Amino acid sequence: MKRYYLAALMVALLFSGPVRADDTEIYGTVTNPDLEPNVLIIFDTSGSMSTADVPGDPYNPTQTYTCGSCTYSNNAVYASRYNSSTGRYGWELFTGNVDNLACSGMKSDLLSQGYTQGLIRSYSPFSCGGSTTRYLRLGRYLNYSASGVGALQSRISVAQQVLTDLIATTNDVRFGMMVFNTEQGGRLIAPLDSVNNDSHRLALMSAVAGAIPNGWTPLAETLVEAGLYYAGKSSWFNTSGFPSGTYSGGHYVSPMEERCQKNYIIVMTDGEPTKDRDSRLWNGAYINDDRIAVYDTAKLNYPNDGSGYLEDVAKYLYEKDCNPEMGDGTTFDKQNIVTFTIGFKTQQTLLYKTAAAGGGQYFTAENYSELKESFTQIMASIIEKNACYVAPVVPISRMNRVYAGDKIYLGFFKPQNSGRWIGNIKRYRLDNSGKLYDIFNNEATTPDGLIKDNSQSWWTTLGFDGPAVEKGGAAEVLDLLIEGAGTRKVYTYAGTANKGLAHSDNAFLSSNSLITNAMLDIDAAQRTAIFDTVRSGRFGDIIHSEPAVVAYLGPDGLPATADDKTVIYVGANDGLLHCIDDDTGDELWSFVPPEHHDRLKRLGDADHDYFVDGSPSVYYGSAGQKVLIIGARRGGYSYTALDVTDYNAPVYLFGIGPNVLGPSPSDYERLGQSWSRPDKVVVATGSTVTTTGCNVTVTAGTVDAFLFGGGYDDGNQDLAAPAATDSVGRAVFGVNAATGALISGLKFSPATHSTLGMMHSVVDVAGFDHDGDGIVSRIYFGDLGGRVFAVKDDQLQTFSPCPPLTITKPVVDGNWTALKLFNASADGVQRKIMYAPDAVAEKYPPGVHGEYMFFGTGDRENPNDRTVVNRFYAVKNDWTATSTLTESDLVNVTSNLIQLGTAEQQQETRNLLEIRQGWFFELENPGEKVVSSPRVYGGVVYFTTYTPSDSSAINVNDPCAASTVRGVGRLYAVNYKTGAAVHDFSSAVETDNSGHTVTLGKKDRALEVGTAIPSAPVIAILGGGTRLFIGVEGGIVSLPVIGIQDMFRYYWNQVF
Amino acid sequence: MGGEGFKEKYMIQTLKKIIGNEDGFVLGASILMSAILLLAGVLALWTSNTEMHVVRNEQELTREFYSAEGGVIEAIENFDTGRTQWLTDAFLLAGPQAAFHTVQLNDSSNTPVANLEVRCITTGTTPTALANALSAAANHLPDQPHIASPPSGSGFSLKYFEVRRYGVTATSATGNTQVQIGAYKVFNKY
Repeated sequence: MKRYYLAALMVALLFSGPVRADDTEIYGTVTNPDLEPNVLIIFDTSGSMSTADVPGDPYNPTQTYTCGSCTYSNNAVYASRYNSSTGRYGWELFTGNVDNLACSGMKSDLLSQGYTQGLIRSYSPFSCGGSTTRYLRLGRYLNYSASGVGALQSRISVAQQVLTDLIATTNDVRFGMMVFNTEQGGRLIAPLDSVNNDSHRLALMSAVAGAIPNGWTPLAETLVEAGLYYAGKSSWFNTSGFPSGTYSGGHYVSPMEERCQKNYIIVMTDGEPTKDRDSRLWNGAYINDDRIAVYDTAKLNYPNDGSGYLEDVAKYLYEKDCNPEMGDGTTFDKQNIVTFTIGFKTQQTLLYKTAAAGGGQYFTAENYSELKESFTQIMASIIEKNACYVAPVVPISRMNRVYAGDKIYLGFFKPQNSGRWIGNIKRYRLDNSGKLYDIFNNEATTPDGLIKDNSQSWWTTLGFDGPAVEKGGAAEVLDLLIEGAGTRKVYTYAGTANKGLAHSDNAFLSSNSLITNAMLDIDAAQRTAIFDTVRSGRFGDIIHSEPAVVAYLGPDGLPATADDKTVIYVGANDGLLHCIDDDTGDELWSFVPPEHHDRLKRLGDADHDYFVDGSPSVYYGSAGQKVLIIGARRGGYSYTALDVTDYNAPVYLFGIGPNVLGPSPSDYERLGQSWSRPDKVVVATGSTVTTTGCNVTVTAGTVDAFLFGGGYDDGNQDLAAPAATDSVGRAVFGVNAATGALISGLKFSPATHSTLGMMHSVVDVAGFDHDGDGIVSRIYFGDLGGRVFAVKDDQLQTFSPCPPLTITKPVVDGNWTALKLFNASADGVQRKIMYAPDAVAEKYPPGVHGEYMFFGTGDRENPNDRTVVNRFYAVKNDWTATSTLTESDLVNVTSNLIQLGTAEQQQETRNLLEIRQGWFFELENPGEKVVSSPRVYGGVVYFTTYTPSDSSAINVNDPCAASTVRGVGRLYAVNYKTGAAVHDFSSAVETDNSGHTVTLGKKDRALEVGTAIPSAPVIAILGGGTRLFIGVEGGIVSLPVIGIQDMFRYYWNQVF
Repeated sequence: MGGEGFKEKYMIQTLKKIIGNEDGFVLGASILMSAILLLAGVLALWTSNTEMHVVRNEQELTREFYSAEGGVIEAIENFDTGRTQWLTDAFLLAGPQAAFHTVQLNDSSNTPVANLEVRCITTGTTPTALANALSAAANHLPDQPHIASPPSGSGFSLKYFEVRRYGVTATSATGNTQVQIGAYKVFNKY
C-alpha cells in the first residue's frame, strides 16, 4: 500500500505540477511517508541511582506548595523565554490566570500536569494556533518544583516510573535501551523496535523494571557502544549477553532501516562520568575507521577515572556518517545520530556541551514531574517534522567599506499545501574563517552546512529554532508583535502629496478612506478581512528577494561605532517590503507597494501568489541620501523607489511602470515583469573638453543611475514553445537614481535600435567600470533568446589642440553604442540567458582595453526540462567584432583536453584558446542549467547549476525517494581562460588520453553542494581570508576560494 | 811636477779601489730589497684592506637591501597577521588620507632589521600630511585613486570587486637603503 501511495505522490509531483511553470515547481509539498524514528535510551544504572533523595511525589494539581522560593502565583501561567541580557532562559508571566486560556488542550494539560507545550496565541483569548511553539508552566507547578516536597524515593525508582509511563503512552517510535556495565562501557538490554508492537513494549517495560543500580558511570564508553550498535559494528565492551537478533557474525545488526530515518540517543544520568577512560576513546578505530578525538589530558580531569570524552563521542555521532553501508553519505543520505542529555539530580556543563555537540538539547530534572517533562519535551522535539526548508540567499553585511561583516542573514521559505507559504529571515554570526555561530556561540551548522536543529539564531527568544522556517528569527519577533500590545506599522502610498509613509494618508488601515475598495478591487464586505490578512499575516515566503543590508551612522557620525544602526530590507510574498532592525529583529515598518493594492485579495485564496518577490537595491547619494528600489519579479510589472535616508521616516519617491519608455506601446517598448535587481551605476551624461596648450582634458558630467532590464515576458516565455519574438521587455534602460527620470541616452529597445536585433526580453543587466574612473562605460546583458549584447560609452575621439598634432583618446560622454556580441542559439535551440554576465578587464593586442565576459544558459522557470543542453560561455570582447560571434568562434572545451588530452592535444587546445574568441563547455548532466550570475575571483569563474531528477529513475519502492526528487545543486569552479578544473572536487579517478592518471580532470569542474536550486555563490572577503557561501536546501555551504592571494605588488622602486 | 802626477795616480787608484770594493754590497742590497718588500707588503696590505672594505660595504649594502626588500615582502605577505599586520579595521576606517602604519622589524635576536611604513596611495595626497609620522619617501607616493577597478589581466570581476592601493616603504635599520612598492588589495565592491 505504501508503494502505491508513494507512487501517487511522485506522479503528482513530477507530472501534474502547477498550471504556471516556475522554479518553485521542484519543491512541491511531497514529504516522505512517516518513518518511525529510532530512540535509544541510555539508562544510568550506576550505584548512585540508589540514592533516595528525589521528592517522589508526583505533582498534585490540587495541592498548594509553600516554601521560601515558592514565589509564583498558583493559577498564573508562565512561558519560557530567552533573556538576552542574562543569556539564559527564564519563566515570564504569560497570563495571570489559567482560566484565561481559550486553547482547551493546553489549558487541560496545565491543569492536570502543570506544564504543556504547543501553538498558542499570546493575546486574549489565548486561542490555539499562531505560529509560535510555547513552553508553558503553571505557577503551582513551578512552586512544586521549587518546594521539593514529597517522600523521598530512590532515583532509580523515580526514573523507572517515568520511563515506564513514557513507554506506555508513546506510539510510532522505535525504542530501545542500554545500561552501564559495572565499569567498562555499557550493554544493550532492549533492542530498537517499534513500541506499536505490544510484545516489544512489554519487553521494554520489563527491562526498565529490571534495572539494578550497581557500578560506575562510564558515559562516553556507553555512548560509544550505542554508536557501534547503530552502525552495525563489532562491540568494544561486550562479548556476550546481546539481545536476540542484535549481534551476528561478530558485529551488531544495525537497527537503521532506511537511509532517511532519524536516529536519536537519550542519555539520562545522575552523575559525572567515572571509569570512563578506555584508551580507544582517543586511539581506537571507530565507525569509519577513524579516531573519535585526540588524546587530551585536560579531558581526564575527572575523579574516579572519569573523562570528558562524552562530548566528543556525541559530536562524532552527529557529524559523521554512522552507517557508511547505507546511502552515499552526502547531506541527506548521511545516517547521523542526535544525542539528548538529561541531568537527573545533577547539573553538568559536560552534559550541556554533549547535547550541543550532539545536535540535541540538555535538560535537568530534580523530581518526578520534571524528569517526566524532560522526556516529554524530547519526544515532542523528535516527532516534530521539519519537512522542507530552503535558504536561497546569502547577503553579507558590510560596514563602511571595511572587510565583509561578521553577520550573515539567511532567507527562508517553506511550501504549504495550499494558500500562502511561510518565510523567515534569520541572522547568525560569521567568524573570520567562514563558520556560522548561533546566539550561544555554538556552531550553527554541521560540516555539511545543514543548520543544526539545536541552534538558536539571533532575535529568537522562544527556544531553539534550528532550520525550522516557522520558528525563531524575524518571523517569531513579528508574531510576538502581532500578538502583543504593540502596533505594527504597515504603510502604503495612497497617491497624495503627502509622500512620507508615516503620514496618516499612507497608513495601511481599514479606516484609511484614501485606500478605497476600488483600489483594492474588493467590495465593502471584504475590506476588513483584507486589511487583517495583510496586517496580521505571518511573515511571507522569501523566495527570490535577496535582502539588502544597510548601515546607518549613529549620532557621532563615525563609522563602526556602537551607535551605528543596521537595518535589513527584504521583500516577501505576503505583499510587503519589510524593514527589520538588525539589533532586535523587530519589524520597524513594512510597506505595501501600490501596484499590489488590487492583488492583495489573492492572499486569502488557495494558491501561492507572488508579491514583493524582487531584490531591493540601495543607492547611496553623496549627500547621505539613501534610495531603495525594488521590483516584484513574478508579482508585477513595476518598480517602487523609497527614500530611506532616515530608516524611521521612509518617503515614497517614485514608481517605474510598464510604460516608462514611452506612452504609446506602438512606438515604445513596454516592460515585462519586473525581474531586475536594479544595478546601481554612475554614468556619463555629457563631457567638457578643455585644451591647455597641446594638452586635451575631457571631463565627463555624470549622474547616479539605476540600470534595468526590460523584464520577463511571461505571456510568451512561459509557453512550452515560445514564439520567436517577445512582445514586451525587450529593453535595457537607466533612470536617475534620485528622481526616477529616464536617462535619455541610456535606453535600448527595438524602438530605439531597430537594427540591433533585440527580439527577446531581458531580465538582468550589469554595468562595468572597466578602467576604474568611477564611471560605468560598458554594459553587458543577455536575453531569453540566447543573444548577448555589449554596450559602450567610451568611443575614441580625435582632437587637434595644436595642428598638425592630433590626440586620440576615449571619451565618456553618454553617447552609447551597442552591438550584438554573441548568439548562443545560433543552432536553432533556444538557450535562455536569465542572469547578467560577469566580466574581467583584459588587454588585447595591440593594447586594446577589453573584457573577458562570462555567462551561462538555462531556463530556471522550467527547472525539470531535460531537453535543452545548456552551456557556459567565456567570450573575449576587444570591441572590434564586426559580426555576431557564435560557438564556432569559440573553443569547445567540454572534453577538457587541456587537462585530459595528449601532449599534442593540450598544445593544440592552448593554441586555439589563444587565437579564438573564447571558450564554452556543455553542461552534460541531463537538464542541467545555470541558475546564477557567475563570479570571477582570482582567475577562477564560480557559478551554480541545477540538475533536475530523472523521474524515470525514481524507485517507487524507496520510502526515502521523496528527498531526492528535488534535483541536485552544483558549484562550478573553472579557470577563466581555459575552462579547466582548478580544484580536486571529485574523488573519481580520471585518466588522460595518454593513459595517465590526472589529479584534475573534467569531473573536478563541479562539486555537488546539495539538493534543490542553489543560490548564487557569494564571495566574501573576510578579515581572515576569502570564503564562498552558497545557500542550499536546509542550510548554507561555506567553502574556501581556490586562489587565496588577493594582495599584489604593482610597482617597485629602490629609493636609495 | 812629479808630485802632482803621483797624486793624480793615487787618486785614480784610490777611486779604483773604492769602486772596486764590494764590501757592504750585500747589506745595501738587503736594505734595498727589504725596503721594496716592505713597500710591496704595505701596498698589499693596503689593497687587501681596501678590498675588504669594498666587500664589506657590498655585503652591508646587500644585507641592507635584503632587509628593506624583505620588509616590503613581509608587509604584503602578512598584511593581516603577525607582527606586520597593518590592514586592520582601524586602518581601513581611518580613510585614505589619514591611515598609516609603522612598525620596526627585528630579527630573531631582536636586533632591528628594517622599519616599515605603510599608507594609502590616493589622489591629492599631501606629502607633509603625515610628515611627523612617516619619512619623506613614504609620503611620496603616486597620485592615483585609492579605489579602482581590478586591473587588466588580474582575473577579478569588475562587477563584484574593487582594489585599493597602498604604498609600502621599508628602510634598512641603518637607514642606508630604502625600498618602496605599490600594492593593491582586492575587496568586495561596496
